[in-house]
Amino acid sequence: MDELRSADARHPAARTARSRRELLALARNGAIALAASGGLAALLHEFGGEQPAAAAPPPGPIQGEIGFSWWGTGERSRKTQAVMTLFQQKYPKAQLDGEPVGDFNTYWEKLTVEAAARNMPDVPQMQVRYLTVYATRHALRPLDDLVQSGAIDVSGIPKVAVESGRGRDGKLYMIPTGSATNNWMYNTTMADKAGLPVLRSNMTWEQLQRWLLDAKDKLPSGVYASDLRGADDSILWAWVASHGQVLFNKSGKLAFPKQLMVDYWNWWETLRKAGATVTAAMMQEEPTDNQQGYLTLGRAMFDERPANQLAAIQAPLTASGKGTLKLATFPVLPKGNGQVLVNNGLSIAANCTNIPTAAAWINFFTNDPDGAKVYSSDNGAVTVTSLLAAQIAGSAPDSPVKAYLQFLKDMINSRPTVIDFPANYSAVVQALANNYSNVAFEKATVEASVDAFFSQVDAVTS
Amino acid sequence: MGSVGPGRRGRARLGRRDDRVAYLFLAPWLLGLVGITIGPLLASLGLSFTHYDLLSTPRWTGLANYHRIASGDPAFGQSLSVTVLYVAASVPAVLVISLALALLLNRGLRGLTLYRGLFYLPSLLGGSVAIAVLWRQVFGIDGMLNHILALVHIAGQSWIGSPGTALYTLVALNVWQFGAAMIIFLAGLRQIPQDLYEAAAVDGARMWRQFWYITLPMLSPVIFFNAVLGLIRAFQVFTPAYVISNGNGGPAGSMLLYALYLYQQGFVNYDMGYAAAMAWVLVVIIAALTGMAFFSARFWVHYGDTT
Repeated sequence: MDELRSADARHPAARTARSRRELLALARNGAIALAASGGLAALLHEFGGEQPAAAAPPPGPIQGEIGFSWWGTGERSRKTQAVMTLFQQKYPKAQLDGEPVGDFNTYWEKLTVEAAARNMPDVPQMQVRYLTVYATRHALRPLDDLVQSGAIDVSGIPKVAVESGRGRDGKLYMIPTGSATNNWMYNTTMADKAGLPVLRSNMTWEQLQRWLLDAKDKLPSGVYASDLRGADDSILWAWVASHGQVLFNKSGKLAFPKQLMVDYWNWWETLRKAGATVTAAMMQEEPTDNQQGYLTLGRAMFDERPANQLAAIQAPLTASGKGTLKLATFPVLPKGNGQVLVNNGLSIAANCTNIPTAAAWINFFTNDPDGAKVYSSDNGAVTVTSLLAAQIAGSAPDSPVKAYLQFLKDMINSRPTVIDFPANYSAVVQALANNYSNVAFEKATVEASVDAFFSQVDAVTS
Repeated sequence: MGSVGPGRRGRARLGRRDDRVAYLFLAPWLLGLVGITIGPLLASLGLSFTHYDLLSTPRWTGLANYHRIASGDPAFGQSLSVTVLYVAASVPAVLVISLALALLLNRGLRGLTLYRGLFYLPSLLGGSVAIAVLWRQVFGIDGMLNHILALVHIAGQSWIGSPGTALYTLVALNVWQFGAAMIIFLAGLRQIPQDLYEAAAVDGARMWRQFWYITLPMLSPVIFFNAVLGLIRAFQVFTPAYVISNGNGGPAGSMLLYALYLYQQGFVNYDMGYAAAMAWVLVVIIAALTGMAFFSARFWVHYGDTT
């Protein structure tokens, strides 16, 4: 038996079979070990990883591929890609991999998931509302060294705008490329036909409410005086700031009295119940795309919209012959300025490995005259003062672009309010929408909804 | 010495070799099971005991997330009640409609293949974002449904914008995807021996008695299968609620399905620990309901010769 066994073992086929068995055993054990270690590594990474400190930018050529993300579709994407083309023509060895996301809210949800996977685009478009979310959690790379070395030139940007890109630790995480603000946008053609006076920036909220209530009976059938925006966060900022209050304290909690919020929602409810605004059902149905909103469709005379959207919203109205839009500031009152500066900009992700190219792209997008001309301040007035002046001078006299650029320039000079947004700001927006929905559909009282809003926001920002 | 041949040891050796070959062929699937299913499952269980905001290191909080669920998060309760209502309305509706159409198609209609394909098509498209966007157009205040109602002088409304009707637009979307269940029912009907119907007819049983005493009992395993799968699927519906409600679960939370609220907690509120806890609570709920379904099956599901 042993001889046979040993003979069997010496046989080439047996040796082959034995080595095949060993190989299978090795493969099986290796597969199990690999899966386990991969899962374990993933868990350890999630539970144990520390973010590396940002090192000084390594010297290096501007080449290789970087990812770049932005929000917006249609014209915004076309302009963005045109600027990317100019950059790649200037730096032929560099390649930009664009990642546009159409919806503004969805953009942040996607960016957060990418950040969680340490897979953010190398240069994500950023905004002050969400800067704290990523900066406090080390998802962004500080840019101070790149500014100091001259890789990113901010000399043409007003200091107050540059400072808006700092995180709570004082480090610079965002280079502002566009100054924007939310404000009133209304159809002057409809307002003139209704015999309404021009909106003034120092109108009180009560005067504005009266203006809208007067309008509702003078507009054509099927046209409402205003969209219903009780869930709009930017109008809430304006309400709180113009009443001399602060929106958030240093801990990220709501810092204004509940009664102010009760008064705010009652302001909207007075308009809604009087029929001056679209119905609650229409509010629920309204698409989030600016170009499909009721103002754009000519079904509402008045709305809140970002100033830089003036041209995009005017175009369909012009095509349909339904009127001309004009911008008006949120109330600027003795107690406070309701206009809030909202800067958009560009950051570098902490997971970026091609710093020279990322810095070069940010510098180009911010400072290049040809790129600025092509982009034409589509996402906020260009922050470099000389480029803004050139765009204002170069715009057609009655064009929406000139109108909104001049509006933004004047707004910036009026020292708008700056808000210190908390690290979970998207949760604030969600709580605002959910609780105002209960008010508008009369499922809860204003007081109860305000209580729920405050408790929900304080719970998520703690 | 006698020859050894493929004796006990030889058979054992061959058996072990067969096992190894089997493991080798199973290895890719096993890798996927561990890496893509079991690994993330265990990770989410671990995360449910932490505060995790996606971007920072998870912080151990013990049972805090589960305590928050149990101690009455109002939105959690609302999402659960909305989802239970959705399941209770849509699953039976899908079963009834798909069975009815399967019975109709089982009569041997001309063009059966065409009808079967047409009825199955919504099942392929139904869960998509595009169909959800289309649903907004159909049930909106200026939507197709209101235009049809206007033809018969019925005043329309915003079906997706009204708290009383919005959820039922989601139910309608789920019911519209009856095709998959119908195909399975059709296959089940084809398995029922015709001689049972012939014998029943000889005994004077009419169509309804044949359906009640032959079709339903013989089809009960298929009904049970479709019911359990439909229930599991309905509890996890997300895309239509997200798209049709613009992501907010409105109007007034009437479309705040469980999966949508879970998504909001994880990706809007950056509270992935709480979202993970919600996910595990859902697993328990679905497992409990499925267990109850299996327990009840002994009373009404008849398999083969147990009829």
